[in-house]
Amino acid sequence: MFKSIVRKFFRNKTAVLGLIVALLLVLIGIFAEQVAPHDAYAVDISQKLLNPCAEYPMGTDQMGRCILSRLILGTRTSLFSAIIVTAIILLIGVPLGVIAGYVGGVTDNIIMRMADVASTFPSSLLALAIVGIFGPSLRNLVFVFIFLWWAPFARMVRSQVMKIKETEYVLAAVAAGDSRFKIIVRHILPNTISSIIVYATLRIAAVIAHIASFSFIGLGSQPPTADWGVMLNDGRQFITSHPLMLVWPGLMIAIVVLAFNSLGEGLNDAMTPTSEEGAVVKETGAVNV
Amino acid sequence: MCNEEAVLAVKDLKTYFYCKGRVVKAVDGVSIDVYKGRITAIIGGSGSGKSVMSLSILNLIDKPGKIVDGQVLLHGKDLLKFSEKELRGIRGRQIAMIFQEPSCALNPVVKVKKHMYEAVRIHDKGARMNNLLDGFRQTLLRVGLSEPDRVLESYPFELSGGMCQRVMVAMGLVTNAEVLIADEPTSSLDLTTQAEILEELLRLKEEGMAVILITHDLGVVAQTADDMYVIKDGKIVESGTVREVFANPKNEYTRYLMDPITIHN
Amino acid sequence: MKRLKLILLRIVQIIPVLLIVTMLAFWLSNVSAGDVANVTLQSKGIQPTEESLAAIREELGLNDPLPVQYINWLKKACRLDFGVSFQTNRPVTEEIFSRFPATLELAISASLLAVIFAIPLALLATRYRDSAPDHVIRVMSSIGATMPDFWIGLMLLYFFGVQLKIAPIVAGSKIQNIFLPAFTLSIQYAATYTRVLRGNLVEINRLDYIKAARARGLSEGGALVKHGLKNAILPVITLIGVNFGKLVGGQVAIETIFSWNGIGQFAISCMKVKDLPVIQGYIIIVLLAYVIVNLILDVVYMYIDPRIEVE
Repeated sequence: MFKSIVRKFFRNKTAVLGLIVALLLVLIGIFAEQVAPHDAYAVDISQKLLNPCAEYPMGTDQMGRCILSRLILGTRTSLFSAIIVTAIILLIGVPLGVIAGYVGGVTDNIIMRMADVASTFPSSLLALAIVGIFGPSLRNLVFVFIFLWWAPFARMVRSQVMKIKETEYVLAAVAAGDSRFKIIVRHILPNTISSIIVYATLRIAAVIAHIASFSFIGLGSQPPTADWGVMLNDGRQFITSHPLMLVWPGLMIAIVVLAFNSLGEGLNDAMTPTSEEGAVVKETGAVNV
Repeated sequence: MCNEEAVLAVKDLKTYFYCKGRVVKAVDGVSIDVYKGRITAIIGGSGSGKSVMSLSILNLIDKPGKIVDGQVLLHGKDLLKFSEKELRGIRGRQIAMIFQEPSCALNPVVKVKKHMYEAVRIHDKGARMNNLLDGFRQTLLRVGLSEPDRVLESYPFELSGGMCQRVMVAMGLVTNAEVLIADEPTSSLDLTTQAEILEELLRLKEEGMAVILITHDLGVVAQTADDMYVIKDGKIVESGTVREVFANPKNEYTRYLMDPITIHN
Repeated sequence: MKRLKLILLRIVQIIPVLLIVTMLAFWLSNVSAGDVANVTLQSKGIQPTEESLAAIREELGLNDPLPVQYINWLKKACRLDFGVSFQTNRPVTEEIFSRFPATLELAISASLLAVIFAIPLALLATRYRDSAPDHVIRVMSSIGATMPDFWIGLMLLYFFGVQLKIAPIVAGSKIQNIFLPAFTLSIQYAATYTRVLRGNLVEINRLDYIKAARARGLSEGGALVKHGLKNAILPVITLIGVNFGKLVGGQVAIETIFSWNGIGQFAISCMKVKDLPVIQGYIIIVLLAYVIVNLILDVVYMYIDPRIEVE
């Protein structure tokens, strides 16, 4: 089973490419300071707005900071916040989904109504409101994403659990007198894990795109943080004179999002047995704020 | 079987499916003749290739399937050599087809009258709904639908399976098709409705239509058909008039299919 | 009759959500608003002293218990009265509604463009499924759905505004400038709709009634358009509506990039200075718009799909 998934996955070239790029980016994020040629925060006005050269491969920004170094540091900012957001919505969404799906009844009803409320908001609306009220910062933004996105996760897990609950091996375990906890850990979780992994991978892509977007409009990371969205916002006023300032961060966002998306879709295709389209609803990294 | 010239003759038809490097010979050298005013039955189990054959007659085989060889002669002209556009002129107008699951063969969100109108309009761009409605009512009455006005205004999902099948037949009639291919027209219907639809096919035959009846049910064949072909694994294993074959089945497979009936007799 | 009942049911279902959201909106601004009085004073240019703070608290009813404050606020909110903007000193509703048409124009054009792109692309992909056009469209839509729209917007602005000089860089919300922002917004939706629509069409294409239509003499494309499209598009309409609801809330990034004076851009400028009445008003009005759009959608859906009535 596991072997066949791996084989199927590695036959998919886009997915493998996505995996490689994603791993590479994580490494770059971890070793950002070591990889970056310059200090990403070192201001040197005499070196401002340089075009790409040997010293600064991607040029410098309006404060004379090395754009390449800022891009590399930005990898850490966006990848790590995306991973944190995804990890937390996993920690909230999976248990709630499992409980709702397995226990059912009133508990299920309460959890699902909560999820309804969380998803009634147009996501950008809530993000704008909360960040607006508590002040713009990456931390507040992370809270918003967690509040909004545990719900679809819980829903997905719930529907999976409800399907698995009716299978014969679970019924057999119930008949054998296994405890609820044991059934959930032994039989239910292992069978939802593939969807969870796929969903989480796609979610990372979406979070990255969203963070960039909010930082771009000034509601996420604040200057001088090295963040792709902030860099794009900085570059906006130089669109006529230094358009490259807009190209680099955008390319990075696009690459990361595409990498995680193709990784997620590759996993999805590899893990779903036969169907043409995967079982997990395809979440895209699309952003609109 | 019949001395008259066949309206439709299938000669050595081969339709293969290419899946994952394998070749499935769904129809492998089938020849049949279909005559005006007669019901020609094609009998076979599931997967025998009978449905693929019926779709091949209209050249409606989609990838990964392909008609690799043979002829489908309508009045001596080979349909397989026709362009797609010429074929479209044949489909529905000269050769109509009805399907096993009548409620699935009609678009659930399109009213019956629009279905019938479309059947005509495909072949006659100038047709106008208002001029046609009277004819539609007559046709629906002719196929045994006693409330034509209500049926015309209905959506297919509001009709029973038997009514849908009558509508399908009616759609073949409004274009004056010469040949009707009925692919398991009764197997999803209850027994009474089955009998009524078969009656309908017999009546069409009396009116001079050539009917190809595709079925797995020898009882149906015994009741209605004139000629029969037994198909197995894409090949014809036995053919002849119904009387001949029933009196003296030569092939083992035919005898196997007949078993319940012979016991019954 | 059944339709009317369904619509009424929908409205009843919405009420609790609206209540919760209004509470949240009210509560949210109170969390950060130990300083409501403070902020209000400063916005009026009055130096906050003990006295003036007490006076303004009395004036704004900040000494009442929270539920009372909420009810009072809600009463006003029901009349779409959210007070005046700290920033501009004009009524919030006026500020928002004066910018609403611009946002609406953008939302409508983006949705329309997305559908206009998606339908032919999906039909093409289905008709030539698993061959070159399908693959190309699949890759394109995959990229289109994942690219951040604000970056696409920036690149388009650079290309058309700076390089080709056929679009103004600072455009302003004039209707003749709408194409670029609308097109930018439409890309990801077009991509998503194309994928969903193609999926549905391929499913439907397998059904008997498409085969039956072809057996009647329709071409494969014709059968797809006449019989496949309507059924395939029904689920997409929900999606279009939900996205339209989102678009109606204003597109901050796109509005900013193309200097389009919509409510998104306005809301963000108010949020940066904690203009609380505007934030509250914005949340409620946008949510109302969102809910209304979805309600209209339900009704439209009922009329398009005759099957709903029998269920």
